[in-house]
Amino acid sequence: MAEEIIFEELGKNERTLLLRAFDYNVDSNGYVLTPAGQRIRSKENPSIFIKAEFASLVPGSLEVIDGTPTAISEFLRKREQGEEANDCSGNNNSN
Amino acid sequence: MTVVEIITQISNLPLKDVLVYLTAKGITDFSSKGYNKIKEVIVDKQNEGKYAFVPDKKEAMLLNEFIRHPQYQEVKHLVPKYRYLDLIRTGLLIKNYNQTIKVGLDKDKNSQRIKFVKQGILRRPNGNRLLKIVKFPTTNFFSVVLRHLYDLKMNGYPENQLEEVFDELIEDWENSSMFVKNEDKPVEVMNFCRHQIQHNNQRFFLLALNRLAVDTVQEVMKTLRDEKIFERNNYEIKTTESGSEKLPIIEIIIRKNII
Repeated sequence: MAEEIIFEELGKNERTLLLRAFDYNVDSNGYVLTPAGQRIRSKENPSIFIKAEFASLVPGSLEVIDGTPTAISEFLRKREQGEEANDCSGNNNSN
Repeated sequence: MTVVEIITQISNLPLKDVLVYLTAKGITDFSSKGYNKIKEVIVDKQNEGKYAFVPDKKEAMLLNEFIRHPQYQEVKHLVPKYRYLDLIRTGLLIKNYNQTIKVGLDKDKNSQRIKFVKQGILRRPNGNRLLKIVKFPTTNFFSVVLRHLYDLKMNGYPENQLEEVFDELIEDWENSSMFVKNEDKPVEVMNFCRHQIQHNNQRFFLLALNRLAVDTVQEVMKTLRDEKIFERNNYEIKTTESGSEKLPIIEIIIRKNII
């Protein structure tokens, strides 16, 4: 079974530093920029861009997603499904 | 401080502490000579896959706990591929905030959070419908509907049909259900049931949570049964009684017979 996820909050500067470690950045209006320098559209509402303040930075290796409860739930569900799939393949292997 | 000294300091720290330490030292990017090594430490720690940085840690932890929530488990069991499963979890979060507001905890903060979350959903494409899905788990009828879906599953409904029914109920539950209150008169409950039957609705629901209201529901059901209105219109009834003597609960699912 995969390790339990650790949730943390970060201040503005720490968040920016983490993004920069993965070649992302934050523009002067607070929007996250991809390594190619483009703003990231919200997956839930494509008419807006993701602000660093409201983003979630999740493993995989660093993925920038919406910070809404629904987006976090989606991330968790996919992670759970991955774990279930791994558990199943583990069981299969042991049989 | 040299890069080697910084790396010595941070290599055994959790990622958040590393970031706090580095920013406290005035490090804001990795453009300085040798800072690539510091960057590597951060990347390696994040790639361990155990950290998620979120706007609200407490809320994310709650969402994570909801995987074990009985109602979430039920929905997942009934309609595992339901495309809005994540909105159901959001609904459970709002329900949780409502419950904490009721007991007087963080009333303003939680009310504002609910408003913010709902506004965000409303602004999404198809927002009105998405908001209905989010509201559904916060209602008393959610458990009744899950019970109904479970019955259908036991009657051999395939997963895709269960999803269809679930979607229909999200759209329709306000019209097809009556939460009977103490002050409701039997004639009002009777009229509701007759209206549903006259419109040949596939299913409708009654729910009562207090002695007086439960008595009203039971009286109405007896009258309608005596009239044989359900039999004549091919409806079957499932009654679930729970709660205590003082605070009884009755849930009634009235649905067209499954042929």
